[in-house]
Amino acid sequence: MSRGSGGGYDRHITIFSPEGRLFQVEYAFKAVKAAGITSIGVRGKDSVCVVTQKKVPDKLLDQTSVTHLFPITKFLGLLATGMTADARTLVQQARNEAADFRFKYGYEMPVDVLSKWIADKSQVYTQHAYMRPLGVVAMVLGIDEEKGPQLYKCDPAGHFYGHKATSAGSKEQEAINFLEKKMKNDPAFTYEETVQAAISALQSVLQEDFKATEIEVGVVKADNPVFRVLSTEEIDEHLTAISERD
Amino acid sequence: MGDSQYSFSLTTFSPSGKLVQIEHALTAVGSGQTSLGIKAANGVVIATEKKLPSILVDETSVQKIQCLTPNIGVVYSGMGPDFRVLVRKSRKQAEQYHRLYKEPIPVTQLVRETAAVMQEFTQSGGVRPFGVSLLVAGYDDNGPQLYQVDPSGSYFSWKASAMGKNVSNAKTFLEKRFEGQISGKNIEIGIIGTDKKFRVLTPAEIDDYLAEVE
Repeated sequence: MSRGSGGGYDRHITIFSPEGRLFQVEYAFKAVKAAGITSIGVRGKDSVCVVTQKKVPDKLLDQTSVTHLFPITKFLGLLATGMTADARTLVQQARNEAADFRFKYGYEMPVDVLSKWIADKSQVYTQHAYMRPLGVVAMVLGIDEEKGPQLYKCDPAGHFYGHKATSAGSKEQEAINFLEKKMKNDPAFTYEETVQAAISALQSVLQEDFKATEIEVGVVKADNPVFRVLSTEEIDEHLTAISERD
Repeated sequence: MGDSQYSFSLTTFSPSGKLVQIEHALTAVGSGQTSLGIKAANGVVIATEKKLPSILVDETSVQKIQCLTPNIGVVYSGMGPDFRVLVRKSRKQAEQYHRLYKEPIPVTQLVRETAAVMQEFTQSGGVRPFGVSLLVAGYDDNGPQLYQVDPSGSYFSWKASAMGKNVSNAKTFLEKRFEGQISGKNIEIGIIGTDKKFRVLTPAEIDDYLAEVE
């Protein structure tokens, strides 16, 4: 006569359930969706673009302080989808780690190394009971010296993969279905095509046309590998180009 | 090892004498992607299914078979993030052995130390067991060896073994066709031979072997 579940604690801390699942990790994924924002990332031939919704819940808020797009170093960007407080602590630690790397080893931390570090930290939270997993999905972008443009996604379970295109947040699955069709034949997008693919994917999945102030766009380009957040004017240009194209 | 806030183990005996957390960990392994290993007279081969969540994932960024030393490789079934932790710890242990004894670590020693880590996490405070089973393939002075290590920390030497989903059908895994074709892009194969150097086959080499088989 053995106890069926972990004494009921398998839902409260990260121990195994009878089916071999980690409920706390699964709930962390739900927390990412509950934030109500969808993000999309697309990797082109020589650039990477990430796009996310900018929802300012209160008109009295200073819009410039509402952001999910963070530079980690001059060359690495991070788009955090999910709980903003968890995002900020992750960004803080990532910035520290990247600066430490540059100091210790004398060269810039590559995208995949930072992603692995974030994912390994997330794995620790899934195995040790004293800390809960973070409710954040992180998309890391940058230009790798050898491999070119890179887009990595790290989730609360500790998984991380490189992506040609990906999505996170409430409409993640719809966005991925849309992107799978678009990227089916491995198209090699130019910079403009990459940005427009990302923005139009978001518009299509959320079924609304955006104003430039309602989205945030971050890019890295091979010819200028600095991570940049686009200004409202630049976003407007791309939006106009998309609506004229259609 | 163990967290100071949790001074008690989360893996405890049930009234029937079972450690249920370890059993649940084995369930997690059993729902993972299939992997298998075969020991030959002059080498060892390990292979695994490489099924990615979407075609948007860049398959070159994923490597499930990893090198622990130049002559020992490992593959897993179960939770990828847990596997990364074990790979990192094992590599460090192998390096520490080499620093002390100035010779490559024998396969049995490395397996024993990795298994000891996995056992620690079934008894220490505030942690859960690893949700992976490992297949360790190596070639040292004792010849080719293949070991399977389970979440409990127990390990056995095998002539051939499989883990993960469809273990019973695993013998036909390499002949099985699924969703079109097995190709170098959706399986990974690692080999170690008399040269005692473990390496992962490139997709092109896998395709060549598949062409020979057909």
